[in-house]
Amino acid sequence: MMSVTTLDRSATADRAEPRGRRPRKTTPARIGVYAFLVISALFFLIPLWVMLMTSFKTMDEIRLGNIFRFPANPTWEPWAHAWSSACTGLECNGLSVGFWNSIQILIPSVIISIAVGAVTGYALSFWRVRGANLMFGLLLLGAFIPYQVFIYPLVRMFAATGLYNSLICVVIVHVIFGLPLMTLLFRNFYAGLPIELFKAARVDGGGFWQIFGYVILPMSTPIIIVATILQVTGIWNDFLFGLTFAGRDNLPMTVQLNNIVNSTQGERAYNVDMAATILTALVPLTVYFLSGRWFVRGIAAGAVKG
Amino acid sequence: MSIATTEGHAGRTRRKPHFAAGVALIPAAIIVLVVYVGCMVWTVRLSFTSSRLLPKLDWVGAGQYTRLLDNHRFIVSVENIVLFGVLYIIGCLVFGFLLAVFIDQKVRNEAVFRTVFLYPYSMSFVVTGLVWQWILNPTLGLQNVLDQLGLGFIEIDWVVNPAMVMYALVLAAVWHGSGLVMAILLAGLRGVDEDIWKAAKVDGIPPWRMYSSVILPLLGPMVVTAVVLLATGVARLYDLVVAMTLGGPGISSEVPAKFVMDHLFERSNIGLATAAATMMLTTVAIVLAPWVYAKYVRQGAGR
Amino acid sequence: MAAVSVQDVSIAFGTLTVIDRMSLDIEEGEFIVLLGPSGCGKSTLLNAIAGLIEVEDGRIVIGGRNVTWEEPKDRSIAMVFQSYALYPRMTVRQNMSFGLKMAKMPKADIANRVERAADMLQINHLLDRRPNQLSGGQRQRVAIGRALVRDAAVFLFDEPLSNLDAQLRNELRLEIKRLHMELGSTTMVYVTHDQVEAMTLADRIAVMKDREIQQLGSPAELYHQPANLFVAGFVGSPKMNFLEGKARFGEDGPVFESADVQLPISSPALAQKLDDGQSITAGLRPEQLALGEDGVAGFEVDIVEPLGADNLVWARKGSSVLQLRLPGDIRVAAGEPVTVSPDLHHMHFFDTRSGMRL
Repeated sequence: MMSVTTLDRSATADRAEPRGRRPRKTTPARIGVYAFLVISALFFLIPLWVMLMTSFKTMDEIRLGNIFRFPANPTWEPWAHAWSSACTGLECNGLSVGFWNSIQILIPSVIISIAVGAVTGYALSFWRVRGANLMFGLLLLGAFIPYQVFIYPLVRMFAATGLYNSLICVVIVHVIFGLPLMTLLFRNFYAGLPIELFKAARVDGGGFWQIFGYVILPMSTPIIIVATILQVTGIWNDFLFGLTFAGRDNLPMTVQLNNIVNSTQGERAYNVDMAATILTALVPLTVYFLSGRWFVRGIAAGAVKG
Repeated sequence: MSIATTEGHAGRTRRKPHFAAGVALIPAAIIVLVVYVGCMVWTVRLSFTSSRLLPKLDWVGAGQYTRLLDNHRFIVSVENIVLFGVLYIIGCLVFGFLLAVFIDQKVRNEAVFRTVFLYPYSMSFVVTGLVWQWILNPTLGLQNVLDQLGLGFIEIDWVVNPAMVMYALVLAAVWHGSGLVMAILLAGLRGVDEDIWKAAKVDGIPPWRMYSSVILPLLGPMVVTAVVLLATGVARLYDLVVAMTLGGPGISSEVPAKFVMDHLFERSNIGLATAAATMMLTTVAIVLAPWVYAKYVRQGAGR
Repeated sequence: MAAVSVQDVSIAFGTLTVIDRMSLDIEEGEFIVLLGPSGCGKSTLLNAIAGLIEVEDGRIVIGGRNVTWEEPKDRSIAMVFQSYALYPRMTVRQNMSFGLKMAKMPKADIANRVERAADMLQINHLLDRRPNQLSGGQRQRVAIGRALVRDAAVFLFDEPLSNLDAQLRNELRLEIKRLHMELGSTTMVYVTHDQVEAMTLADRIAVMKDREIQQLGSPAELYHQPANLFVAGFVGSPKMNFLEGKARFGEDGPVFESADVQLPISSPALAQKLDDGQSITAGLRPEQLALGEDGVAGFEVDIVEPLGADNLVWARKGSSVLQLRLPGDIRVAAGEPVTVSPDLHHMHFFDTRSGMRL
């Protein structure tokens, strides 16, 4: 009897003693962390939600309703209207015009700016050219100067060459103002490559363009992806250059969007406005959601090395 | 735009100048000389002329500048940009830092939070401005919801109230930019040696103390990077204002960049516009100088 | 009473079990080394003892107290890391006193302890510097100092010397050994992949591989009686030679027979355990091989690596290659035919299939 009781007791004691995983307690601190994150997430998401909801509502519902509420009778009407028949000033062909203009601006601008940036970054990081450091310094400083300082002389220069108010003009402007970031991006990336690689290629008799084409460029895929993401979103989101240099027939989507929303006469069609807004944001949002960590890499490129 | 540079290989190895490399740098050199230097000088020169619709190369000394300082609209613009800049940078830094720290607490669905916090940054200022203009719409927006809830005494009239309109712009801009700070600082937090955290646990140092005494000083360079990125955005602030308030109500949300654009293209006052642009340039240069000095000159001397 | 007792501990990362029901008792004042290649689970075990990783099952007892659920700071441990893990923007003094300050220790006591630890490690002159003004060796001294001020019962070292160059590694190794002697009753648990560090420092070594302890014993036991092929190959430098072959019972008694080499099996106790034709592996340490008249003839010197005191000689016969460690005054040249004579009493035999010692 006695021994049985003792055994029992020790078994109980054993069980009560800490063993294995610490029991999970939901601490107030833990709840606080999630509460903060969830509330913040709501703050960030609400505008997207409101945009979407508004874009599917009828104007009647908007006048009476709650901007957060789900549409009672969801309709595609505002989207169709925004895309094909909303008025941007005098013309009423919708945002589709701006979309195609933006595409036409985007493709050459992205390709040319990355190409120039890659070559410049390569020349600056592996080759010795007189005055290159001074040029690079000026280029970097240029990145911080407000665009308003350059705009008027640029307008005069383009006007003098007859390029003003054309696709070519706005593409050139994007290449010009994309150059500092693109050069920096590629130069930093190439500075991280082992110099021995370059030396080996030199010993093997490679020239400037051969080394670039056969050795450096094939290794540049990651940075080209980063550069593409940055430039696609950056150029798509541009407003100032499109407005100033593209000319009336080539206005990009952002400018047309602003015209649709802010120069309407009479009562504003908020549902159409929001549909148009989402449509304009769709390209960068898609790039963002598809690229995921690459987008962050683009932001962090260089920044982390600071 | 990012700022940090790594010393290139060319600096370390001595080689003869190379012809093809020189040729490859011609496009960049032209851009630097013609645009960055040439256009800047041209603008500064124009600011000393009496140009209105068309550029004239006369000389009126500081005339445009005295006129600028008498210009009520310009003064309002400057006051606005200072207010906006301070609140926007502090707001993004504080909010972004908190987001990064909270995300770094080994939370579930971290990727979802990260994605949500950063997505506004991928969109344009025009889109940002238009969304917030609609949410803050004084009759049909948030106000309408509050009215329905019987909270109508809270007035969300920010976009039409001259005293509040700048705060509305700050709100929208912080929404747009906090994720950027979060991303930069989170990368920094992730770069912190994991053993340091372990050492702190063994030493019994509470996390808040680690963040304030150890981690924040470590993130210093990244905070500077974030500030420079945000500050560049402040100087360029234009799209957001055009989309959200068009400078209104009245002139209560005018900003210098918009002042320049309006006087160049609508008010045909090139002299005044270029004088304002030159003022912006000078301010940026003054703000930037210590940073450039610290980052490049001092670093270069120590090398 | 054991200073540290790991009892039936299992550790898992998600669904992956990293350590499965492992037990280990460490005596008070003992210097124990967890030795093994990377990924063997040695650091995981150390982190679990420290409380930096939660265990899935089992208990950890330190100084007679069950600390399985305790915070690291309450386990009376101190820890030194491979990457030093110093707080970057703080001076050495601040680094060493930060933990004590958090524990609300009076200022004078903190100063005393820091002073004493600094004396012990001879880092007094560094107290007002910052980590980035220190060399690697100095940083690791400071990290040890930071552990020292905690007055802990158990010191945990996680590959503390792996980031240092060879010279400094030897210096600090000595320093750690001296520290252990001076502290007397302090228990030390030391993780490394370097068998020289393990052999020189340890009272006992736990050799780990594939998340299991292969053998636990004194350095001498590990060297003279390796439990299996892995331990035999991992401990000792240069590495033990292995020859694969079969056991044969012929007219001359039991022999080990491979394609090129035939050696008598001298121990009758061992011979009894063997079956005729059983696949066995013979292990011969380079230092227990010599050149002589008796032995296995027909070897040819392949390469000679002179080290001064010793010559490392590679000898080949057919497909068998043996490494010999010969005194430096014995001169042999590549291409020379030699007879290799092993120390038959110090040969090791392993079952080839299971890898276990016979």
